[in-house]
Amino acid sequence: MNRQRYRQAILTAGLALSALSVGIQSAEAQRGAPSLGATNDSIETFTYGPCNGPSLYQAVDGTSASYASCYHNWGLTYANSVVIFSRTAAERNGALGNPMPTGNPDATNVAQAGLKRLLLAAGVATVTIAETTSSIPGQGSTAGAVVFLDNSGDALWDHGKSVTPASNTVSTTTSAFTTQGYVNLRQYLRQGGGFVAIHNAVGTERNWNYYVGLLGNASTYDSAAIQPGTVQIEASDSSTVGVGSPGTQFALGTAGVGGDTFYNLVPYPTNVKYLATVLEGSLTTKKSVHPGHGVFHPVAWCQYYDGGRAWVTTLGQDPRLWADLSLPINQPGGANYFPGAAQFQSMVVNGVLSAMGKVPFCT
Amino acid sequence: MNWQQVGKVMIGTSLALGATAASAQAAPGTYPVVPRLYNNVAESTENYNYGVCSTFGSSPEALSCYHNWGVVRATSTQFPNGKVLLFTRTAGPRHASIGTKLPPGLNPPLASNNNTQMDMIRLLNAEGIAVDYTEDINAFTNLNQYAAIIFFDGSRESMWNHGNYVVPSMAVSTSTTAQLDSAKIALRQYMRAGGGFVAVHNAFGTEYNWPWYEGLLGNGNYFDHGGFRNGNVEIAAVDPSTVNIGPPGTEFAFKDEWYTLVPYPTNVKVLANLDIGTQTSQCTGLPCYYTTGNPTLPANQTSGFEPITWCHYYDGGRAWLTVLGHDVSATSDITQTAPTPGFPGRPEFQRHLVDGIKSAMGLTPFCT
Repeated sequence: MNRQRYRQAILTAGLALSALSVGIQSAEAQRGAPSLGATNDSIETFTYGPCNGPSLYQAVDGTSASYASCYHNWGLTYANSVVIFSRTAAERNGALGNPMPTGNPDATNVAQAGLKRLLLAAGVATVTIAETTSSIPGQGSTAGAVVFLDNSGDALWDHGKSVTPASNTVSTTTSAFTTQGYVNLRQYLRQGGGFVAIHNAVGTERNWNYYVGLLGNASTYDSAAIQPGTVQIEASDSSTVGVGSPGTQFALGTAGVGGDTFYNLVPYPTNVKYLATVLEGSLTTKKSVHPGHGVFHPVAWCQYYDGGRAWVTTLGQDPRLWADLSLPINQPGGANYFPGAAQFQSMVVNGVLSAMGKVPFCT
Repeated sequence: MNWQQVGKVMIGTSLALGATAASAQAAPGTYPVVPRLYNNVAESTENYNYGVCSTFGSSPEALSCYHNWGVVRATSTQFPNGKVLLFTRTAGPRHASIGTKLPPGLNPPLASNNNTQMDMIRLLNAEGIAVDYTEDINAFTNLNQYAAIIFFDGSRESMWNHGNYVVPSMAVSTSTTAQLDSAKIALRQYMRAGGGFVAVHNAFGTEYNWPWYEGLLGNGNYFDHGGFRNGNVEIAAVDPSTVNIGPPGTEFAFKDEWYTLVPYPTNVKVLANLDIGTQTSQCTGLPCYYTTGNPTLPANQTSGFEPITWCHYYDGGRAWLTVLGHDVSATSDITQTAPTPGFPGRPEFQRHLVDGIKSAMGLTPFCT
């Protein structure tokens, strides 16, 4: 084996401070990278173990790195299929509607049905909806991608098995295995699987470090009120090309009607490709406890992680974001028109397709 | 393809901003943006960081990972070389070789099909080593008396006290009886006090979601395996656990599942490999990346290797690890016919295993 390694020593705290000041200056000179701004984000690179990063990472100090080799190209053949996993184990966003033990959406399951409709329209052959942990793709799965849609709490935990009586105390067979969902997701990523997190999937499994790493070293801290905001594209990517070039802005939501919650993030996503931000100047209220991210508030990003692909967005609170835009009522001028739905849908659909590898991923 | 990777090394415990790599970058690829396989190998070998020391060898830096606190281990007149704990609890799939699940408690009566347990007791007793054994998480206590703890098979969340789930009063209990993860803490503290740990076969495939344990395994974990098949073990390094078999390059025939590993073990001393070209059949699992390399290449690859035994110091203790040991014959009495007809390599494997255990116990130099 002749595997060259390049190791990077984390700088000491003193050196880090000077590097931060350089970073601030660089970020002011160009968008596409975060800075501390006037806020309280620590942007140290958290280490969750697995290889993680985008194909081309532009750091705040102007250097760059490629993490494309994080992808495990084992030559597996994946189906043209997507699994939507929308289980909640705590709060449940209204867009998800009623629990779905059978996987068949009813009229209340707006987000699941909307995403399924969009993916089918985009050429995905098979889209299944699941709210049981056993449905998470695992080792050997041929699913093209799994979408974590608006989950909450410890959604990967098999709570049902925790009530099996004391026979589980001593050795048993798989009936004692409460963490199959976690192992499945891990092994699926390691074989090169695709993962997409939408909205409160970023606030799920906060005590599972591997998952926080999968989210791009990021996790929801809190959010302000539901409100409209202006989203800005930050990078050219398969998942943003349908909206516009970097700098393109669009309004999401309407005052008095709805918008999004624009999560504040701790940890702040690092070593990812930042795809879109919300302009905090467009927000009426910026914070509850967290002071907000100032000049660079990410709302979508991507990275390779532990052999797989991960595409993440914090957007998706409002059920109207999933509206069928082929209906005139949902078009501009229509009674139910919701600004930003078209751009949101374009980003999500292309994000899923990129996580599947059907279009270039996180370039 | 340039396989250079950016690893991250934490200095001390301070977290600080690190500038990213300033050199040696691969240009962004064209679609599909996936790396070429390097040397027909498709694992990422980034250096996972589990937050505690992991070293091997005899340098002062390597040895500083060992906590030589002078903990006194149990010995007896009958077993002057000390005592080990054999832990075979499963919380998922169960290997046939370890037989029916054991009754609660420490050293319960064994059934006639608890073959591995009986084999290990016989093999170690012959070396003057006493063996306690259990599959009861509540008996995973008082560990510092043991010179080593052996995880032989087991599976999934075997360190979890599932029984404590079912007591509603524990929601507000302030007593220790409510604790679900006492065994995890016990193992961690045992290693920090200079303990020895030996993992055999499906001790990989256990506690996937506990990063500290994955680090203990040498930053290596079970992904999958192909068929139960013949192949040659090739000694890869001079070590107290290989010296009685032969110098590097020595091979012996064996039969196993030859686990594939993600993450790929890093920062460890590899003691033995599978000589891939000697397999009697190719790996048929997913993805079989070590054995067939690039799946677009012919499947009859005849060169290359795959690590199967390694060692390192970890978080103050010693860890010796092998993915071999699937079949009941592996540890069976070599004076008798093997339960699996024609099973090869029993003397060499058992010598390797016993010497590995002895090194983890500190009876010989360790992972030199």
